[in-house]
Amino acid sequence: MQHDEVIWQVIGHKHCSYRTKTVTQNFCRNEYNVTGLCNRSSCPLANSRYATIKEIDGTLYLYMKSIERAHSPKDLWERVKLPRNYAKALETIDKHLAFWPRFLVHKNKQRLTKMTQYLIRMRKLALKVKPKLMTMPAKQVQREARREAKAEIAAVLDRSIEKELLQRLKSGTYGDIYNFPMKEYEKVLDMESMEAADEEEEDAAEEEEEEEEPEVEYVEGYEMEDEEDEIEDIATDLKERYNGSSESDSDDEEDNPRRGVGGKRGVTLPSKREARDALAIKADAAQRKKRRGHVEIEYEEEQENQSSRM
Amino acid sequence: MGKRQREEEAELEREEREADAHAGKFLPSQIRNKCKRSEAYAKVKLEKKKAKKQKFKQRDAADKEALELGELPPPRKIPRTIENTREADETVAEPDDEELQAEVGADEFSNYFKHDITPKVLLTTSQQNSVPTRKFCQDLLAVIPNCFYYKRGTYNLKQIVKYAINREFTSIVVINENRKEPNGMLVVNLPEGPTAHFKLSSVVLGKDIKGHGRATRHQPELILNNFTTRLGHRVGRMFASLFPQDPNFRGRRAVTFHNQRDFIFFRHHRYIFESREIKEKKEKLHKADPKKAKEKKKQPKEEVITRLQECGPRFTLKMMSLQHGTFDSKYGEYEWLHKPDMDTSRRRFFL
Amino acid sequence: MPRTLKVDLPGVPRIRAFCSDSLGLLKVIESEGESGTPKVIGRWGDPDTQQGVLCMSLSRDESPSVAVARKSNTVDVIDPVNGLLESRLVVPKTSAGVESNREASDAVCGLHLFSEKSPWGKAVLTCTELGDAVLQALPELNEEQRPKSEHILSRWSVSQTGCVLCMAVDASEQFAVFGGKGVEVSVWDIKKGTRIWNAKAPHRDNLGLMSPAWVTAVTFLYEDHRKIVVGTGHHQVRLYDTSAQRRPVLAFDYGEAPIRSVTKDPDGFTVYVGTGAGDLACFDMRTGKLLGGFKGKCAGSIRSVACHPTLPLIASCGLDRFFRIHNTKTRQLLGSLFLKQQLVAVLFHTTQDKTTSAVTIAQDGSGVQSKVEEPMTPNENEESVSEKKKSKRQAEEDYEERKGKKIKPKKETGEAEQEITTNGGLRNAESAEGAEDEEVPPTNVETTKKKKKSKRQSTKADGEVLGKDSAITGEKAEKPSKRPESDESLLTPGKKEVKKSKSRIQDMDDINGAEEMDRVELSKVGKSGKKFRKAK
Repeated sequence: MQHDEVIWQVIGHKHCSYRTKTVTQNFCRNEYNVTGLCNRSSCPLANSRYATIKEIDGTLYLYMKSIERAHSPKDLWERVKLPRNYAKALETIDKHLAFWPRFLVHKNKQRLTKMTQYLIRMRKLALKVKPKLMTMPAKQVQREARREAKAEIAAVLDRSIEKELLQRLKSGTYGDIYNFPMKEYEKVLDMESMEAADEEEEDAAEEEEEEEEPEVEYVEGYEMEDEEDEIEDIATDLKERYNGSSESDSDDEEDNPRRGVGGKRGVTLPSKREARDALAIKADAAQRKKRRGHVEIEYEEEQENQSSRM
Repeated sequence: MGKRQREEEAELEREEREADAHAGKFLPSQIRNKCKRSEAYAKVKLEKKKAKKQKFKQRDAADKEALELGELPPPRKIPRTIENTREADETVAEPDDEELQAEVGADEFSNYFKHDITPKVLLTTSQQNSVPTRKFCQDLLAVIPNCFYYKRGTYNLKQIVKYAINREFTSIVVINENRKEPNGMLVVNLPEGPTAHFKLSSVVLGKDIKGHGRATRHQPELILNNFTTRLGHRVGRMFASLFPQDPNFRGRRAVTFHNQRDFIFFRHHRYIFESREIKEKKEKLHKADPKKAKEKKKQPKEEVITRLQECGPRFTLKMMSLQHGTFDSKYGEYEWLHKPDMDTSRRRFFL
Repeated sequence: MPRTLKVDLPGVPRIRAFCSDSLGLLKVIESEGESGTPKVIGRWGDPDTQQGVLCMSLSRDESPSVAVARKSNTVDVIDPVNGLLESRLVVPKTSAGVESNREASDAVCGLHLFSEKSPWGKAVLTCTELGDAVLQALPELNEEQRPKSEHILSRWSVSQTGCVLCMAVDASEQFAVFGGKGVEVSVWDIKKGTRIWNAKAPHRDNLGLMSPAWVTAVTFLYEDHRKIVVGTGHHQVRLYDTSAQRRPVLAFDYGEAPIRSVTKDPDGFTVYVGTGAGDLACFDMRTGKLLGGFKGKCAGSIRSVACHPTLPLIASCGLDRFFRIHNTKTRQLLGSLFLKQQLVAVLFHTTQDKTTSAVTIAQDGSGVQSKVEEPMTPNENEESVSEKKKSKRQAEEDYEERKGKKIKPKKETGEAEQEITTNGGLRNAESAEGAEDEEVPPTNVETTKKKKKSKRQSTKADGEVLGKDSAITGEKAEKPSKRPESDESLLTPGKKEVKKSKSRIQDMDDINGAEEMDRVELSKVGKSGKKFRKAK
C-alpha cells in the first residue's frame, strides 16, 4: 500500500536527516532530490514515483523510481544515460517521463538545463589559462624582508653609484662635457681605493654631511659659470692638462684591475659597456682631446702669429 | 643534502661544546636555572664587550704610536662580510671569456647593443589594479624612455605578447599587484626573448622621497652593478635592453640596477660633479707616508665628487624565474627557476 | 656558526661524455679515477650561433662516431676520439609548398646515426620539424659539392600538419618513432618508409575535452621495438605498446612543466624523465611508479638525459648550463660542471670490453685514446691528419691488444693520452709489458715525457729497493694513465696503499710526486685546447 503520506507526516513535520533549515527556507540534502528544497512534492523519500538527473564524471543520467520496485531498494532506481546533445536529452526525458506528473517532468528539464550550463562553463574555464595563485608563507616573507634590509645596508647604494660615476668621469666616457683637471681627482681616487677599508668608519660622518647637501635644488646656470671660469684658466694650465690627460690614460689601465677593495665585486659589466657602448663616444672624446690640445696649440700659435704679425 | 648539512653542523657544534667542556671551560648553558643562567650569560656578554673595546683601544694606540714614530700604521684587518664569504660560484662570467663573448654577440639582446633597434616598452598591470600600482606605473613611465602604458583590460598575457609583437614593441613590463600594492614584475623581451619574473618590494614613489628632484627627458645612463655570474650577466643585459643605448651625458641622469645578495635595487638619480676641498681627516694619515706628504704639498686641496639627487621611484627586485621564450607559465621551459632548495645556504647567491 | 658548509660532491667514476650546446661547440668531459670531478678536456668547434647544435647521436658500434645536427641544416659526423670531421651532410629542404601558417620550420629535430652493422652501413636519419624524414648515406669528406639526391636512400613525410619535435630509433635500427605538436606518435619502417603503427589520442577527459597531441620526447624501451615511452608537453608520461593497442597503456602526470627528455635504462623498464622546470625523476614503466626524483639543484630545463650503458650513472644537461652526473641507484648527485652555454644534448662515450659479459647492443665504442682538442677543420694540415690517422690506427691496435689482456702504451705521438675503461675491464695487472715501456723512448721530445721516463726508472729502482714484486713495479712503470690505479683499486685495495707509500718515497727523490707527474701528463693540452685544471 502506498504510504507516502505517512512518510511525509513523519519526516516532513518531525525530523528528517536530510533537511537543512535556514531562516527562510528548508533544503533537502538527499542526493536524489530534483529541486534541492524540502517539499512534499520534491521529497524523494515521500514520493514513490520520482525522477531526477544526476551528473557523474561529466555525463548526465536520468534516474527514475517507481512504486513497483519499492520493495527492493537495490533495484529501486532505474538509470538512463542522457545523450550529450541538449535537445536530444530533452527528448529522452520526454520519452521516459511521458505521462508522469508535469511537476516532475518540468523540474527534471530545469535540472538538465542547469547542469548542461555548468558543464559548459567548466569546459570554458578548463581551456582558459588562469593566473596561478601562490601562497606566501609569512615566515618566508619576513625572512626576505630582513635579508633585503641587510642587503640594502651592505650595498651602500649612494656611495657605489657615486663611485661608478666618478670612475666613468675619470675614464673619459663623458668626454668634453666636464673640464675637471684630471690630475687632481685621479690622485684622490687612488687614495680612496687604498683606504677603502677605513673609509667606512671615517666617512660615516662625511656621508651625513653629504646627504644634507642634495637638498639644494639644481640650478642650471651653475655648471655654465664653472665652465666659463675654467675656460679662462685654460691658457695657464695648458701644458699641465695636456700632460695630465695622457697620464690619466695610462693610470686608467693600472687602476682598472684595482677596483672595489672593500669586498665589492667587479664592475665588469659597466666596464664592458664602456668598452662597447661608449666606444664611439670614447673615440670622439679622444679625438676631441687631441683636437683640444691641438686647438690650444693653435691658440698659442695664433697668438704668436698675431704677435709676430703685430 | 640539506639534512646532511644540518646534521654535520650539529655535530660540529656538539664537538665544540664537548671540547670546551673537556677544556674545563664553564658555559652558561650548563646552568639549568633560568634566572641564574641568564645572569651568567649577561656576565659573559659583558666580558666579551669589554674585550672588544680593549681590542679597539689597543689598535688605536698602536696606530697612534706608529704615526708618531713616522711609520705606517699596522694594516687593518679585512672584516668578514657576507660578500667576502660568499660561496664560490663557478658560474662567474669572466669578461675575457671567448665563449661568453661569442654568445653575447648573438643572443637576443645583441641587437640593442649594436644600436640596431631602439627599445619600445609596453607597460601594463595585472588585471586587478589599484591606485598605488597605477601611480607606480606613472613613475615608471617617466624613468623608461619610449615607454607606453596600456590599460590591462581582460586580455591574456599571451594575447598581449602577440599584439605587442604586431605593434613592434621590444619589451613588455607587467606590474603585478596583490592587495593594492605592486608585488611582482614581469619583463618579457620580444619577439622570442626570455621572460624574467621578479618579486617587487619596497616600492617608494618619487614624490615620497625626501628632497627628490624632477627628472628630465634626457636619455639616462645605466649603471649595472655586481652582476657577476652568467645568469646575472644575462639579467643585466635584459635590463639594459629596456633602455636606449645612446645615453645623453649632458642630461646627467643615471638609472641604477645594483645587485646585492640577489636583491636588485633600482635607483634613479640626477647627478652633478663638483669640486670641493679635501677634509683634514685624510691629511693625517698622509703625514705618516713621507712620499704622500711630499705630494700633498704640491696637491691643491680640492677633489671632485659626485652629488646625487634622487628622483623617480625606488624599488627592489628579486628574481624568481627566467623563462626561455616568451611568457608561458604552463608550458614554458625555464632557464632558471627559483626553488626552495636554493635557500638552504646563507652564502649562496645566483646573480 | 654561519651556514657556509658546502657539502663536497662525491666524485664520478671514470667516464667520458660529450656535451653540445647552442653555440655549436662540442665539449668533451672526462673524469679520472674512482671519484674524480668531471672536467672539460676538449672543446671542438668554433663558437658560432649559426652552427648551434640541435641534436646529437652516437652510433652503436665498436668505434662509434658522433653525429651532430646544426642549425645551418648540416649534419657533421665527428670522430669522438679526436674531434676530426669524418663527414658532412646537408639536410635537404622541403621542396613541396609549405603552408605559411604552419609553425614548423626546416630545423632538424631528430637525428640518428646508424652503425656499420645496419643494412645501410653508415647512414644518417634526420627529421625536420616539417616532418620531412630523410635517410642519407654518409658522403666522403672531400665530396661536399655532390648533389644530395645521390645520397638519399629513403625519404618520407611523417606528417603534413603540425610540427615534429622528437624522433627515436629502436635497438635493431629498423623502426623509427616520431612525435610532435599536433603529430601523434607513429612508428615507421625505415627501409620501406611506411608507417606501421600510429597512436590514437587518449579518451576525452570527464569534461569531454580532448588534449591536443603534443609529444616532446620519445624513446623505445630498451631492446623492445614494441614499447614506446613518450613525454608530452602537458607533463604526462605515457607508455605505448604497439602490439597491444593504439591508446596508451599507461599514462601518468609528472611535474608542472613540459617533459623535455626521456631516456631508457639498460635494464629494460626504468625510464628517466626530465622536465622543463628542471625536475629529473626515474619511473618504473612496468607499474608506472615513480621511483624517485633526482635532487641536484637543477634550476633550468633539462634538455637531454643520457644513461651509461654499464655503470649506474646518468648524465643530464640543460638550459641552466650545467652538466650533472647522478648515481641511478642512490639518486645522489655525483658531480656537476658548469659549461657556460645553453646545453642541448649529452652523450656518454664508452668502450666495450668484450671479455666481460657486456650489454649486447649497448652504446659502446673503443675510444682508447682521447686526443685532446683538435678543432674540426677537415682540410687543414695534412700532417696533422696523418698523425691522427696514425694514432687512430694505434688506438685500434691497442684495443685489440687489450682484448688479449695486454697493455701496450702509445709510442709515437706526443699528445696527451688517456685510456678510458669501464669498471668491468679486466686487465692483467701483472703484465710484463709495462717493463717494455721504459726501454722505448718517446719520439716527440717533451720535457715532461722525459721526466716521466726518468720517473719510471726511478720508480722501478724504488720498487727494487723496497723489494716489492716485479708486478707492482711493472704496473707503476706503465703509461701515464690512471688505468693501473683503477685496476688496483678494483682488484686489491691494498695495492693502492702501496702505491701511495711509493709516491711518498718518490717525493724524497723528486719534488713532484708520481701523482704530480701523472697529473702533468694528463693536463697536457692539445694545440688549441682548453686547459683543464689539475685533479687535486
